[in-house]
Amino acid sequence: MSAGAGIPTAAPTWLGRSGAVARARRTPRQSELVIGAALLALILLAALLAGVLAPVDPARQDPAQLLAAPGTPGHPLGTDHLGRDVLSRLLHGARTDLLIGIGAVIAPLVIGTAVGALAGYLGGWVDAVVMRMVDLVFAFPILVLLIALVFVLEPGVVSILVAIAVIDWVAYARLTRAQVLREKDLDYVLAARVGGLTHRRILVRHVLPNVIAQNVVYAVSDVVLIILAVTTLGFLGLGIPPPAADWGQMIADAQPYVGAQWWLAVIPGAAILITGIALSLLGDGLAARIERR
Amino acid sequence: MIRTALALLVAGALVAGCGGESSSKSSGPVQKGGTLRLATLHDVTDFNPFTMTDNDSIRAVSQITEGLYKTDARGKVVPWLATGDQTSADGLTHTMKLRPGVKFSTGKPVTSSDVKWTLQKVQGGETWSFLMTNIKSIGTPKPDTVVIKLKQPSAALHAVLALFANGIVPANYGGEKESAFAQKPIGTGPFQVARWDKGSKVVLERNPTYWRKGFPKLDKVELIGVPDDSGRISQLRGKQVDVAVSPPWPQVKSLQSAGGLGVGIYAPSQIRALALNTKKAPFDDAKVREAVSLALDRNAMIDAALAGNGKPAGSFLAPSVPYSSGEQDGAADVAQAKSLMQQAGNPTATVEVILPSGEQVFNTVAQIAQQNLQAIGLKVKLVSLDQAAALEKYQEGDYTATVTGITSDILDPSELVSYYVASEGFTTGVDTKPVAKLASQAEQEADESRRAQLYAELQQKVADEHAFVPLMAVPYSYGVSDTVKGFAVNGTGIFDLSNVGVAKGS
Amino acid sequence: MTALRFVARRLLIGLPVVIGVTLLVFVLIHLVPGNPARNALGTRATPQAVAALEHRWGLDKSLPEQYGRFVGRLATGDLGTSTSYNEAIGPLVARRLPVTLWLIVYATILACLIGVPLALLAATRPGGWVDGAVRFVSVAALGLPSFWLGILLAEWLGVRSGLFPASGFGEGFAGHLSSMFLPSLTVALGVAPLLIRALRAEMLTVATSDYVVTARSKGLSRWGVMRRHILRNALVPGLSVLAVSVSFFVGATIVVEKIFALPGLGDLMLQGISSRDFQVVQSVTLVLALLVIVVNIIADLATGWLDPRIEVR
Repeated sequence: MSAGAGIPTAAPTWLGRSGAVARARRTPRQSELVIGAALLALILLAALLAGVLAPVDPARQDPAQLLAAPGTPGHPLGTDHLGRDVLSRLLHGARTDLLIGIGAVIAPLVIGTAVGALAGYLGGWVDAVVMRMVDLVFAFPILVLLIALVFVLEPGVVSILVAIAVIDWVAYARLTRAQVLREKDLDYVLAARVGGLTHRRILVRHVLPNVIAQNVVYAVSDVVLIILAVTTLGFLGLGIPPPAADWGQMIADAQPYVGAQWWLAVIPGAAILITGIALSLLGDGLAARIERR
Repeated sequence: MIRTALALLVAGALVAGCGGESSSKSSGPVQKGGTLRLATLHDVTDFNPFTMTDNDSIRAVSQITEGLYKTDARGKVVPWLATGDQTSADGLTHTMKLRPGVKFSTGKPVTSSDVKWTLQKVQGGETWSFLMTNIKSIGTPKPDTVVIKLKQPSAALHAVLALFANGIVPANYGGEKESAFAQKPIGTGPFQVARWDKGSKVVLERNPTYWRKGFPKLDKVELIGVPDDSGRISQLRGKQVDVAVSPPWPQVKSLQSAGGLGVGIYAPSQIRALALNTKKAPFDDAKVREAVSLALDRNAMIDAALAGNGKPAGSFLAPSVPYSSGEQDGAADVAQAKSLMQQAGNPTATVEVILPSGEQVFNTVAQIAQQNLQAIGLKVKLVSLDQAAALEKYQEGDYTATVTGITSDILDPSELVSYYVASEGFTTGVDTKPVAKLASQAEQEADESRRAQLYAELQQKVADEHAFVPLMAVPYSYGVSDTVKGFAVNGTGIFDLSNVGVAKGS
Repeated sequence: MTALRFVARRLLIGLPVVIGVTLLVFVLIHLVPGNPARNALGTRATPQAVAALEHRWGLDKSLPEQYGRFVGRLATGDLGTSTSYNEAIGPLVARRLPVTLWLIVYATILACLIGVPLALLAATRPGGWVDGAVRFVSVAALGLPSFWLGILLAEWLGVRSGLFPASGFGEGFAGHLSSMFLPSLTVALGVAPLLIRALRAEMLTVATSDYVVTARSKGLSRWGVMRRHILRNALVPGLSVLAVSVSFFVGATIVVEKIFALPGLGDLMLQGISSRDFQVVQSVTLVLALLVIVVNIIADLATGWLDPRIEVR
């Protein structure tokens, strides 16, 4: 997932091309794995328990207490321009953004892996068609594609999920294809072939398991990118419609106040950042583990 | 009727002058010459005065063309290129003498045939013709005399002639093609187009043939489109521009205390409203609509969205428009609203409210309305659509409710009233026949107080429908650097840059 | 002439992609609700006026016919006419392109200025605390939302400190240089972590490879080896990262141009979308897609030049 905020979906291309990633993981990253997993578990817990942990209803407005500073009794992180509790919105925003981020990665992971595996294994015109589609999406300003898709489908959770699936599968297709091409000529696959196994069997039994692990690892980092994309949409006013809490929308709401109430913008941004760190550490750690195997 | 001075509130260092130069903290006399850089919302999108509709294009062309009449900074409609109007006893024939010595920026003198051609162009056009339907004929007995004959007497004529589209341009576009003219319109105003970088800025330069001696003071004006609210203010604070339109309301206070600049807050002339579609449940029930109107906390909206700078609206006519019933106290009556809901059988369906995205004021207002309506048992789902999509749904009546806005382009009720009548009550689907009758009576009425009474009655009728529910009147606001002198805005939110100067050393 | 043939081949392969992009945009923008004529006429348009304008703009034709006309014009080098600006799109795009190119080039340079030294520092002593810090920063920066970063940079480095203009394109080269600093930095900080990770990884690989070990044993200094062998080789994946990042750059420019009020192509695109100016949206996407393809070709050529092992096919 790339889309304007964050980093290119295309990262795996160069990884695949140079094989750099494999060699980069030379230092064992057990600690990263642990820290990442622990941090993510905390955030996930906060998201899941948002209903319990949040002091008040995140949508409740209080006209008598607009823009209260952090530390105000009853509002540890203050209130926003509508007098809503920032902590409650932050927690519920975690639920919105994290769940969408994790939910949205599943379809592209499954579709992209399947298509990429077929393209890589079958080659020929299937491969050509798939790769042109991949190029097409990559040549596109992805944020624009995402905006257009969300427009067509009308802003909301479902359209965001669909739009991301439509765009993001290419990353997995490309990644998978590169790996399949590499594995295809490895001894064990050739051996299986000589042994008379069918294409499908070889693909499903032998090649895919090796590929899937890599893709899942990539998916972990991909969640970061999806969260960035979703919050960017929220920032542009095209995300989850208000009053649902979303970190991107919180930042958009806070933009006019960045001069006097800077924390309103800083807090949700920091939440995105920390979530990104947790997921990236976890992703890196997992990748290192696979590498050592 | 509220026809007060339009520089209602003046904040910070800026004194919004009434035509004259304003006093200012900064030293240095007003310079003759110099460049004013002004950040607008968008670049001019259409430079053809007969077809343009957006505020920024109107602001720009208003510096280039002038009409027979003009809306001044006090909110009065005054003779401008006409020296006056001799009206016949039946009120149907208006004879106007043109001001002598007025020339177009090309150097060609203005004649009555230019006036006739311009007004007929507006009359025959697609965009503003609805304001001109009452004009029966335009005569040009002499090069300096225009005779306008009406079908019915109209008190709105002068206000209509002051509309920017009725700014006089050379007959037949001065021999140019329409498309060429629309790149570089020609008028009698203080400025002319020097350059237009489409999509980013327009550069205006002084009209050397301008008829008011000593004006304009500036040599050049740059109108720079800066769509992002925060971007405009950053540029103002960073002295990259001298004036910025519509600073975000939350920042007004901090801008005023920043020093070196002020924020001028002018007449509350834009109405924000909640349009309820009377053809869709639950708003087909007048009781539900009334309950909605009662439940809305307009003061909270003004506090949160406008940082307190606005008035709770009691009419679709903004307080700056003559005969407006203007304001209300804005207090919600939730108990009464609830009892009305009960009488309506407490409808339970979820109501979809369209929210045009990307605009802070709409966003805030919609979210407060959502909470207010939930308090009387109406579940609200906000559907945020971008402006183009929201506009389409609204205009085609394909909506249940939407937040929207409306502004008058002339200082007379007739524009919005006739649009209300023609559009089934601003596409809320109400029957507008009773209003239409009152409207035509009011427009023909010569007696001021009787006219005021008729318009009051008309506005009451519209208000009683509770279909186009006015929320608040929003002032036009401009952030202005202290180096700028004499910046003034008329009652329709358009600035007049002919009196503006920039202090030396800026 | 292999390079020339390579370029020609790549452009030929790119052709279906470009056609696909325009078709996709065409279909999408026509599916989006909202009507350019209605939008141009404003809130008080009559249905007749809307219909008349639609006819004038050829919007009453069938969709395949409209697309056919678009492609037909394109073949003659005509991008069409903007409905909202009432102007030929060629000059419109030509005026906006420099802003976006400035942003992309400036951001690339800043990303290198940030990324290369940091990667070098990290790779010089792998496992050291500097390496750890650089690695952590590059991981953390992966999740940095550029719209958030842009807002904060504009406020703190722009408005508050007055160090840089917080908004606008500026006048003249020096003006652009200072006005474009914050937006370019915003974009650069999005790409730098990727660059650092790629460079560091590649440097480590090269550093342990046989020929470097040999060079070291021949008595070449650590820095000498760094400069002569490692850096040059590490540039290859670095270049790939930057090339692949172009589509990210292009996406980022949309948000960044909005925040910093830059009159570039991304801004034109957003305006085109909001006024439903179909021609503008199609043309800008086309130009951006071409930009992505061309940059990738250049990057591949440069890679071939830097690393003769990689055959340019």
